[in-house]
Amino acid sequence: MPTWSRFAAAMWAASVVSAEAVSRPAATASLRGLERRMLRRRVGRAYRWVGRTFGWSTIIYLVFWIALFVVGGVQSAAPIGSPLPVAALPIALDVVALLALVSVSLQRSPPVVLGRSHAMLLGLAPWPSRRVLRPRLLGFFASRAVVGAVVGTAAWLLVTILFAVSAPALVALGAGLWLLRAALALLVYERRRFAVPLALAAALLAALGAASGVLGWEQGTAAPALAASAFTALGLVAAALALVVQGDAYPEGYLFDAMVVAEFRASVLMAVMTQSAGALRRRGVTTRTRRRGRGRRSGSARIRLPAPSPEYGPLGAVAWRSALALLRAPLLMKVALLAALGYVYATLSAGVVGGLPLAVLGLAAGFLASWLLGPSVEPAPVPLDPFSRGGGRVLPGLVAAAVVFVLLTALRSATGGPAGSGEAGLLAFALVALATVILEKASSWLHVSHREWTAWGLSGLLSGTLMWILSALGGPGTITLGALGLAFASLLVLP
Amino acid sequence: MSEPTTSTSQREPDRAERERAGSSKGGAAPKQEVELQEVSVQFGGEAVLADVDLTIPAGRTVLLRGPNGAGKSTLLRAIAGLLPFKGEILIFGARPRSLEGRAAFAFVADVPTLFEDLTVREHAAFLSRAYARPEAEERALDWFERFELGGRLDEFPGTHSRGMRHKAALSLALGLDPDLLLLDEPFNTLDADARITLGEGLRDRAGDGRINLLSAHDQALEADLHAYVVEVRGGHVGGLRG
Repeated sequence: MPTWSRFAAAMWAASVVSAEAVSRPAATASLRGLERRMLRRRVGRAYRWVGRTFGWSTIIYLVFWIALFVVGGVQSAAPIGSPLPVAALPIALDVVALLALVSVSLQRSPPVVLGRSHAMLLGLAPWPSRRVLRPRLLGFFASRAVVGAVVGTAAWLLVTILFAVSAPALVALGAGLWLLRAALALLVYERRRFAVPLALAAALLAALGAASGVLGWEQGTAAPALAASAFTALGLVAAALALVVQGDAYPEGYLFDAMVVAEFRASVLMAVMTQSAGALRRRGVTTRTRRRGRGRRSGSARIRLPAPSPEYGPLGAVAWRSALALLRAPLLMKVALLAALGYVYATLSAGVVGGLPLAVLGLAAGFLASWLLGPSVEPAPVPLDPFSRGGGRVLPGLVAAAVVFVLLTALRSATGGPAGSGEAGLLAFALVALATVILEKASSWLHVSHREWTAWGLSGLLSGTLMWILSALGGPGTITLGALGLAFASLLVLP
Repeated sequence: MSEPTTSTSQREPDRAERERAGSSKGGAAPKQEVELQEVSVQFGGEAVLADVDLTIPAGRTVLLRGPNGAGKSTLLRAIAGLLPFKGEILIFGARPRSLEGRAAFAFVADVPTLFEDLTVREHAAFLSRAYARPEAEERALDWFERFELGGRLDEFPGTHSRGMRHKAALSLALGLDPDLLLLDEPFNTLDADARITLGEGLRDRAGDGRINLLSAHDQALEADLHAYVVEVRGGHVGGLRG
């Protein structure tokens, strides 16, 4: 069969299938019913999950206070002493709008996706793509409009503070800009060739419109550019909808792309949900992924440390593993760790040895401890006694901290620092040691990863409070001895 | 060939075994068996296992058999102390969560748990020291070779396939040579050669008086491993038969 006739036959077959699919009212009704049922179930599931995980009363309570704070913040937003020149505003808005729109040109994945089951069951069934995608497209645009309005509100507040210009029109402009961005994302995914210049043109128009609109609003003139900008946004949204929804077939490669993106989103959502629900107690998705990611970092397997002699027993084994983890930590983390240790040392050598600042410093030490503490052995049923487990996890990090504090003290003395540098170093070490030991105990008892904010926050607050209490009993010497004694006693006695 | 569920060990435990069972303090010879008395496990108020009574004497390989969702994995996890349960579980006289209990067994889950921050070789070094069994490192390395993992020892388990991770976890557990080995569907992800290797290892262990307790669906395993069978169905567990 010649090529053209094969093509014609395929087109005819496609049109027949498509026409059949479209003309089947029962099938269309069943699809609609399916969508409704799935939406209802999804909403119900989300409702129950939120209720079980956080509690709706908690959510309402939080929303109330957040709303109160936001309203209070907006009302109390006062321009800075010397506002920035208004002439800079259009430039700033232009840059933001351009960035928002041009970033879409990097779009390589479908912005609207079908979940795995939908892609397999509905995507492969003889349904017109517009019927299957319609509810998702509506949700997609609605959510983007809301996000844009929120961004616009934040911009309004910022503009009020920085430029002393009140521009409520930014709320509508933000929504329009985000709708435009969404539409362009669809266009870029579908028709890459003309979408990029189109995105640039739209960006320029929108930015111009936004800037002129704000200025025009302030000057009391109805800015025609604002209307132009709004019309451009609406026009592009309509064009994108027409392109995506018009056909009966999905864009080439769409179903495969959608399935990959949906799987990825599902795994991220699962991680977020388990983390929110505190389900990371034993084998958290995020923790596992993080560890696996760390393991997979190229070259980290080359960092080795000879295993200790067996006579050091379980304590030596755990300490060896903790030291390995510290050595294999990303370079950026090591730099951050050094900076944090330096901060704790500098604050304490500045004379902060009591009161509320010490409690705040304790919180910082808790965060520091979350990086110094070695990895957990849970959920493996390894027969480790509490001292071997705790001591082994704590030891390498504290040795590293001690070395850093000694070096800092030496540096400070060498550069002619005031007397008492060594005292500050000891105090800093005592604080970090106490926070690390408390974190080890807290994470073991609560069965949460020591990188969880609940664990290190608790240890930070506890260690800060203990240091505070100790500071009421005596000077730096008492605090240091007391904190180190508490840390050691906790390691020895607590399970 | 039937075996009473309350039968005791047929061999006298040696001193090393007594020490491993952690009962040398008490003076009396430890029970060389795994004992479950009225063990129940509930998830969300629903009983997954109900009043399980089971005694497994030393030197046995026991297959837990039953349909999906019957409670096999739950039973293994309860024995490993990874799940809260009601009733009494004694591993050679020690509770699963006690140090003595944990030193007496090794557990390999159906999705093996490995430390993602350690290479495969480092696992062997770490576990041999954590269990205070220096000889376990060499044994684990030997098992890695037998499972054809010898060339991948300096890699992180995260870069390995599920089957390879399973082989690594099995090698580590077999290297520890615990008195009780708990394996949740160990044959599922293994290739044909590895299945034979594992089968040989389990037979040798039973011959040495160790206990292997595993869940599996393969009917042929009963004969291959000279195993006893325990039927698990709807949360209820039958007696040993073999």
